Amino acid sequence: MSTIDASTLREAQRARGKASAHYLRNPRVTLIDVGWRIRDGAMTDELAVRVHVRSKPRGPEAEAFMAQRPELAIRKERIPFLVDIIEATYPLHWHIGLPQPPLRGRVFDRLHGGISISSDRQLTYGTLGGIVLDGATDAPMILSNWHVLAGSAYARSGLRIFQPGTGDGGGPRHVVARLDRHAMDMGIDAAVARLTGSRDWVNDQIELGPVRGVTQPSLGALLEKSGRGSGRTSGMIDGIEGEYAIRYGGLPRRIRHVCRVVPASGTEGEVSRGGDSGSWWLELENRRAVALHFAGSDDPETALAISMPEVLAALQVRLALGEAVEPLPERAYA
Amino acid sequence: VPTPDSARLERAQRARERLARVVGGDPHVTGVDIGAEPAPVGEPTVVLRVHVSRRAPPGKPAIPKQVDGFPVRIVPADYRLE
Repeated sequence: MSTIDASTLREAQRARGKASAHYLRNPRVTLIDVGWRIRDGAMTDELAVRVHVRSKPRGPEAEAFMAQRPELAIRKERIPFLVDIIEATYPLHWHIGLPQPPLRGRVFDRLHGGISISSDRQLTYGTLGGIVLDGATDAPMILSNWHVLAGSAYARSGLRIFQPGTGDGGGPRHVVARLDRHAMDMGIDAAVARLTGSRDWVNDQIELGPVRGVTQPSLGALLEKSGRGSGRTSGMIDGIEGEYAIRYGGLPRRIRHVCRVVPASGTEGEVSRGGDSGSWWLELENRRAVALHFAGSDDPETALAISMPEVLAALQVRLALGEAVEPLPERAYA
Repeated sequence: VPTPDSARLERAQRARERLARVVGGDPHVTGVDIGAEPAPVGEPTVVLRVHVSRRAPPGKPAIPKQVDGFPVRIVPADYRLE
């Protein structure tokens, strides 16, 4: 099965929307989704808009059906994407559960930057920023925010870290790391968690590619990030060397070395949203890590992030750049 | 985007620290940082910025107009963890 690139997925999602508008009220249709095309009972690596129907007449029966009930026909030409018509019905199982999370909220058999993560203390999710190496032992670790990997003054080293985060259905079956240390006492909302080895990892930010190094935030720098909340977004640094008072569970804490990211000149797009905490802002062109996202505002639309060189120094770690490896396909098996 | 020179930024950083000591204890101040504004000619103007909660009463907190020669701007904004 191949990896889906973001633009193809978006195209498929748009086509699914059109298919839903045309056919979801059709009494033959039981489900419309986007997934791998199924041929001869086996899954292929072709992404398709899948229209699931109660019955799928074939051969002469299909021709007769089309002639008699043309209003119930599924016309593939109305859906601007590869279409797969699947015969299937879905009885209720009377199970109340969470809806399927988006891609970044699923289980990844290789850990990437930009995916869902949390500690086992929280019913939420933040973002796995990326992988760093312990300055003393070279052990690989996850770097994210303190409020994502710990989130409480009572959190102790060894706390279990889930991928995906609990807000995306993660739990004890999904332990990928254990909290090691943090830098909150230095006014830096950052922490590292030592990988358990249960899963492989890769220097790759979802939709952005590998990180190429680290650099200081500078005024006017154009950045991109990959986060669980808002996905891939971009912005421009309009403030550096900031010191901000942010409330943590009602208590104000002073966070230092903060840069502020706003929509770049002439754009109005979203910069960040809840769930992006822990993601890494990278230079648009050189892909060097600039800052660790941790907070933001909708009015005005802004993101706050902590200077990455300060974060790395405080935690005594360095980026795990390694050799850029082609990411394996994601596999959802939650 | 032109970037201010590093010597000026270092001076601005010291001024920002002074400003943070003056206004940072006010509960309506959400942040203090360094920004830049385009100048008619040459390098951008380096400014200090005090981010103030939208819930602050009018006229509060009292903020100096400049520190060590750097103009001070007020940015209304409240921030939250994401």
